[in-house]
Amino acid sequence: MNESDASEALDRAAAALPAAIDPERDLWPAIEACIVSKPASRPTPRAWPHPGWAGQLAAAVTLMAVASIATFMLVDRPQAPAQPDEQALAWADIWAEPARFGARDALSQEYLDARHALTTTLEQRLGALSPDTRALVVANLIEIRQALDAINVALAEDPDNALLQRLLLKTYQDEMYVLVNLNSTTQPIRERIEL
Amino acid sequence: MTAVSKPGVKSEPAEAITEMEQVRRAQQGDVAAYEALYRMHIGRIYALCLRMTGNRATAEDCAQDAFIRAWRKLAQFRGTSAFGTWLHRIAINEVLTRRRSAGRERAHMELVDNEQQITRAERRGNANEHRLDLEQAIAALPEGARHVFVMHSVYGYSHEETAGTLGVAVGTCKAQLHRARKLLRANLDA
Repeated sequence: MNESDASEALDRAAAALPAAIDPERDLWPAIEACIVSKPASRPTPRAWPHPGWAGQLAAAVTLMAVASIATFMLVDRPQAPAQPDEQALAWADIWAEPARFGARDALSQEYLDARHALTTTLEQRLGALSPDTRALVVANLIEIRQALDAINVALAEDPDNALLQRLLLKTYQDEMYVLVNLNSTTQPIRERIEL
Repeated sequence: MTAVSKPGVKSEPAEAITEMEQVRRAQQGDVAAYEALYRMHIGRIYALCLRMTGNRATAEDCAQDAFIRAWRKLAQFRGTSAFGTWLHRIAINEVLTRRRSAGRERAHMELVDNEQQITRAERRGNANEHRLDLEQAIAALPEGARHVFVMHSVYGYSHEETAGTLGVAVGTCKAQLHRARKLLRANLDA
């Protein structure tokens, strides 16, 4: 069989591969949790120890939209040198806080490693953003971390509260989503389109 | 062997009507309608993500985020193309957006269970086994060559569409396809 025939046979085999493959797990629950997240309309149980955290959580969940908009601004902005300010210092304190899941459960090492890697890369890239854009991104990330902290405090006091557990997990997922998006969209354009 | 369907192509008019109605409802905020759309398309979207990334976990993340992104952009869907085609585009962009994300390095696709991991020579003659060989060989391709081969040869995108989506020149696309075919033949003949 010559090269042309072999290529045609390969393409025929490729085109005949099954169009659909089902994932091993149902992705819908996570998708639904994300698309129906409207914390402002959620009832807030009075018994929860930190009523203020619900507002912070609402901010955290809606952050994704804000952060996504912000990331569109990042790519083409002129780059400016990093200038430490009060916000950056406050952020540095919060940023250093390790991820945790209440006082009883532990997060997987794989997740912690991925989160650390994304955070480190993002920190390096933040310095190249314009001051306004950096301030917007950092403000949003601070809100996410504060929400995580508030939920963790609540969960430490009520470790069997399934709703708190789900909300904490969801907020970590949101944080990861934002980190991945920020890391992706702050890559230099040339690097992103390189094949 | 299952015949491949090109992106967004529907086999039954009735299905298309139902799908359009579901899209219309989802655009009005009907989550149940969107779940129905998810059930209709998840297999194809996941297959696309799996072949583009070569990694199950990353493919699940990409498929999940593609449906989340599609929900947020649903108002922008005007029906000028099939919903499946529109979803395909979003999923491809999702794969390309996160391909360099830290901590998500590609691993080889694990399509074969341990008990099925027998030598290629023992498997010759069985169509399903050839398919698995091909899937694994595609997953093992370098990223650039894999993206081009999957989009062009598996899903039928033209060179111009593939190049445009990947942000490369058509010539680069053709070169990557040539490279992919050469590597695949070498892998499958080994």
